[in-house]
Amino acid sequence: MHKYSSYKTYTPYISKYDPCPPMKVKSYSTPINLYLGFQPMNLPQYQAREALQKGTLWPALYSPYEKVKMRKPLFSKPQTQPELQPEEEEMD
Amino acid sequence: MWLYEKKLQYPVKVSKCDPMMAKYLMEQYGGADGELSAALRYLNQRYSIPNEVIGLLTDIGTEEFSHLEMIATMIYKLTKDATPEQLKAAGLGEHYVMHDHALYYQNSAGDAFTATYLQAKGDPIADLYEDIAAEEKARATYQWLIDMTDDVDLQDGLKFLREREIVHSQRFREAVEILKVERDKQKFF
Repeated sequence: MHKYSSYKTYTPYISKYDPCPPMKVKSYSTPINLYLGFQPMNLPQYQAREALQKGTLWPALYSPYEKVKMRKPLFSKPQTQPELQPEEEEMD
Repeated sequence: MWLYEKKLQYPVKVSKCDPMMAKYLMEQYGGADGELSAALRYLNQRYSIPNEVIGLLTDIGTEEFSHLEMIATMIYKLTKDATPEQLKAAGLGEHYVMHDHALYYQNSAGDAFTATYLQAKGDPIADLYEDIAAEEKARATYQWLIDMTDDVDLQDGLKFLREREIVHSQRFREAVEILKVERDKQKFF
């Protein structure tokens, strides 16, 4: 299966005349359910306690949200395509 | 019928005295995309959907009630010891006047719960797409709720609930896949 990142970012237009300091990078969640299709059989599973803590039995379905990571402008140059290091997950 | 287990689906811990957060959490209690809306929507749709999907709606609808119970616990913990003055400062003065410390099915802006939040079109695809959208909206609401608090224990419970929305959306998407195949076609092997 293809690589997937649990959120995407984009750089909105910033006017010279905006009244507030600009948020240079905006982000939105793209959880695993957008990509998975039918869940494949026999995927690896968490142990019971970790599954409860994570909210899912399968690592493949875990798609976390961290507010600090989401809200911080990650990139100094707003016009370039931002790279997505955190939570990069390889799925097979 | 239902069997009740006298415990929460996931432990709820609230560590910061923050009655205003209770007001925000009411969005998931009696709001349009809240847990009550979700539970009633799914359980009601079971009667007019193909057999393969009925069990899924029962399971998810039931789980939504256990989420409702978690949200109720959070709101209760955040308001039970608040004075009228504290509630007033948190924007819950009107709530106190109408309900004292009782919980009530209303959204974060104080609008009472209404059946118009529920959708049941009778068309299986329309209803399942509605359900997928409802899960995504609930997921987003949990994100904004997580943004509104710095209480890591409260965030922990909200993150669990957010992940459950993702799993539910996944299951509804799988239900669409089940219903869209050529079900009446003869199978050749």
